[in-house]
Amino acid sequence: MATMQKNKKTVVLGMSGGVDSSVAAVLLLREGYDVRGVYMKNWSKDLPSMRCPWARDLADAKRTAVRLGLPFEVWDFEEEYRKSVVDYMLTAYADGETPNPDVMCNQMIKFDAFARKAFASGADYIATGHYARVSDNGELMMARDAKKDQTYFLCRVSSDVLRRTLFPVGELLKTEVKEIAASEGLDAINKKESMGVCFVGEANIKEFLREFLPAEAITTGRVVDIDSGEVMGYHDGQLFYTIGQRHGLYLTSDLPYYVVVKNVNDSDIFVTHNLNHPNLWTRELLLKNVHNISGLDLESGKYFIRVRHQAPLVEATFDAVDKKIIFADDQKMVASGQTVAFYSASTDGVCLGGGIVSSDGNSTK
Amino acid sequence: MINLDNAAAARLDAKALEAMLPYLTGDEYLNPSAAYLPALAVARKYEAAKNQIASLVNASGNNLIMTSGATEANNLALSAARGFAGSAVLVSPFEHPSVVASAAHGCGSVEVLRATPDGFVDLTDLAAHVTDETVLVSVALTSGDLGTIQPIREISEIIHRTRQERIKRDLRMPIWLHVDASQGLEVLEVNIARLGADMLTLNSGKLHGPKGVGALFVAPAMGINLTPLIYGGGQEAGMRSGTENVAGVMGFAEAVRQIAKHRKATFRQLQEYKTELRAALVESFGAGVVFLGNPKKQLVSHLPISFPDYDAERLIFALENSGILVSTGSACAARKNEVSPALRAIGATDEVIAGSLRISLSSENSCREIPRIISALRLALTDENRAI
Repeated sequence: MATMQKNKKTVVLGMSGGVDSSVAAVLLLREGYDVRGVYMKNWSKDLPSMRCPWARDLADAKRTAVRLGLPFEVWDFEEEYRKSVVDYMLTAYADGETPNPDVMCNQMIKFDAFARKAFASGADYIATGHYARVSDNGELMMARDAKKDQTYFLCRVSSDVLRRTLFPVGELLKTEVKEIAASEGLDAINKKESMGVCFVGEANIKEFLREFLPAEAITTGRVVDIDSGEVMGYHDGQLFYTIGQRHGLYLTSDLPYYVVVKNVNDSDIFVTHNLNHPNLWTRELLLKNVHNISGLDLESGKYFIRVRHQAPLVEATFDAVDKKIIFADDQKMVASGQTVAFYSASTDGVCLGGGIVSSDGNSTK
Repeated sequence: MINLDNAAAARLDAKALEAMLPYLTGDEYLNPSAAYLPALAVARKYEAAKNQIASLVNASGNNLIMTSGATEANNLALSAARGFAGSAVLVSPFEHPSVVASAAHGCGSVEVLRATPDGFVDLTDLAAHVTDETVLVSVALTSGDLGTIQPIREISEIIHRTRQERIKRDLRMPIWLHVDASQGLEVLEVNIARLGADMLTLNSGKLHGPKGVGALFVAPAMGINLTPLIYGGGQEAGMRSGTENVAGVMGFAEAVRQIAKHRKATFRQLQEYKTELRAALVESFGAGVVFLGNPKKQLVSHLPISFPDYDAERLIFALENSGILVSTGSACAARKNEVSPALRAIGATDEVIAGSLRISLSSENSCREIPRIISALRLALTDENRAI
């Protein structure tokens, strides 16, 4: 028995309380790993409409660990999270960008701070409930369930960590994950879908920003029809709106309108009813902070690009000197601050890295 | 399933449900405020039900304001403390959040009284904190976490003497005692006059009545000025507008009738259960289990314990796998991942707090459950479930 224990590889599994990481725990145990469950406490501060947003998730994760007989710990990353995700997010919003905190959380917390702590504590591997796969040489591969694939969110992690990362549910379809959860009696615990959102849902982002940004950063103003110049309504803060956004506008018209221009120096937001308005479409995107999972620079050449989670892969050419993507066809405008993920044009399903859409030169055409 | 968390929710008494039905699906669904005779009959039954509920503490239904539960009743009681310049409110360390949170809104300064290590309001501390500004003292009849029965009579004595002394000095500032009696009345017999409370909160849901029904008793002629929380048609003497929850009140009244009828038997049953469970815990876990609160002045329905160094939340999850429901601290505290203020107040160590479980019983529990509880606890007390 003692020697068997010795040969067991240790895995520190990030448990979110969601069904995916819970099933990951089941799969790792079936594989014979020595599994230690860890809840990453990134955010515990109350928000106006949300008291103790983490308590429920923590309880679900802990309950799953108890059910499966796993040792379980809470690791506190609030300081790191505040610095590298929250402050980044606030700065980006204040600059008129629409950042993606999940991408940043994976890059800075789950696959950096958490991974380092896990390895330092003697773990052979870390594991999470992400839908993704890792090839033998540390490449990030799309999940078997293409509909659930989460490589977009993981496009800014590094292969050093991926080589020691297990994604147990990456080989499964969501339906299979649900079946396993049900067979283990975990379905009653992990009811909600794991949305991948770190701490605030879309609905709460406004409240979050109101709470943490200085009041003067939130400029209210008019919503103007860019074609007719007519005032269509008023908005409660320019930074809450994103180019291409349709919903959440409180306007005089019943027709669909889209945000086409928001200018940090002017309180107005311009909208259009014309879906073909040039500002809603783009052929090129300028990037900043281009990240390659392998650690090398991304070379100029042809790639498949994904501009948002679950968006189709589209063909594009990357100019590494200008850090510019040129799409084969017109694409819906991608807001500055958003992440675009690079996938290999030659090998199916390999995610190579990701860049952030720059605010320079992209807002108008 | 074995429910050891009856203080969080008690099952609706079958007879209480039966008493409610005529007012829901039967012909007595009418609005008691309507002018026609059949509605008047409903109004009379409603008043009789209020009398029945008030009889729980030997009071009159005329002095009850029916509410949507104990939280609302507590909020309404605290409104008595508003509107005084420089006023102060004293609360026990055993209060429900609805008292503490409500006091924090416009009741002047709020001070939490000290507790003795065995789970009671420290009377010396109370006497020291009553000043000329004190307008309201709020003390729960029993600690929700510890089940310790608070020395309400001694407290009301202190307040009564303060009142007399203020009159002598021609000081017009009133002082009142509010008692949240949400818990304990299933086994305790309470007489409002002997207790000396000026306001008292009642809770239907904890007494096998329907949830969402409560009441505030307000002593007459004490000069208590409440501010309604809800305005409208002026029901409940203008203190709580909204069409009367007739069915809920009828259910509460029937639950009270059943409680009174079976109280002695319930008391004996729970006393036997508690004694046996305590003995079984000592026999099985020895010094590994700690008992909280003074057992001599503790509800027979409550057995607060701790397995120091264990993580109570993990124990709860492990016990639920064995079909046993139990809580740590109060239900609200557990959800928020906050340490129970009551356990802090009695000076419990972090280890004891971490491993604390609140066992609360009702007439539905039977001693036959005890062996299953012990074996489930044995399964739960694993190294994985220790606090880290």
